[in-house]
Amino acid sequence: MSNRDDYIDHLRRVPLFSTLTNKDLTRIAKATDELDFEAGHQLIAEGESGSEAYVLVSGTVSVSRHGTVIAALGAGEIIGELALLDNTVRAASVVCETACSALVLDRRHFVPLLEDTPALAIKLLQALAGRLRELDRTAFG
Amino acid sequence: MPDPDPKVAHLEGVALFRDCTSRELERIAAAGDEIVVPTGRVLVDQGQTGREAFVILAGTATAVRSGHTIATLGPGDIVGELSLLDHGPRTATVTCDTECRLFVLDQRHFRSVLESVPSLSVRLLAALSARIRDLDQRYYG
Repeated sequence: MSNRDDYIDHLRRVPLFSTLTNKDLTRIAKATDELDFEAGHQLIAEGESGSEAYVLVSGTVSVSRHGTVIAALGAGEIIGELALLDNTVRAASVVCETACSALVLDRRHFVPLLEDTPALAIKLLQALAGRLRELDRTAFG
Repeated sequence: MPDPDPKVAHLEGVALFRDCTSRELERIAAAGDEIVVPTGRVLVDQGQTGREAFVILAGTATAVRSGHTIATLGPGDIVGELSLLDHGPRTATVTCDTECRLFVLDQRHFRSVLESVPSLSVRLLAALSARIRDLDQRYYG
């Protein structure tokens, strides 16, 4: 098996990508870079404008708002997509709790990738719908 | 040549469909129905399973969650899309305050429209992002 096939299999294990076809996964592989980050590295700074989204492949990160930790996220979660979708500033800070590996998607590639990969856009819509539902419950009971 | 679908003209003014080409608008129009419902009609009922999403074309409606009014909705607003995305129960009850003209999409057509009109997915993602950001702000300050 080639390295490329290995990499596609590796992407398929990310829950956000689990239902995608090989063709979709190949497109994602082309549009992203996988990078390693050390524990303590800050991926996202609250209040700044954002130019990347990340899909966490391994490791855990903590999310904080105004200095208070509001969530811990692990493999398969997407981070930083809001600022790319609605073109506003970062809503929270995100710091690597452990060594992490993440797929990095820059703004330039993000929307075209979603437009070329409807199944990914739908997966992401489902993920945001779930978050919205949870926030709704927290905010309104 | 067949007469253009009158629904297309009504969808043209909706912000959610702003990035759609006229061909995409025709596809969306063909996937749904336009209906007029009287004042007092309940569009979605908190806790129930949802089978449709609605785009308000004319009129206003109120969203109530656990007895508290959380939003007033008007032309261009979408109602009921969360349940179609994540198959969870309705998060609020939405009742028409006036007679409303609505564009209705059922579950199956909603999904096929998202698959065939990628720009709509992206705009819907932006709309959900803005709502998440708003709730985040309300809850975490």
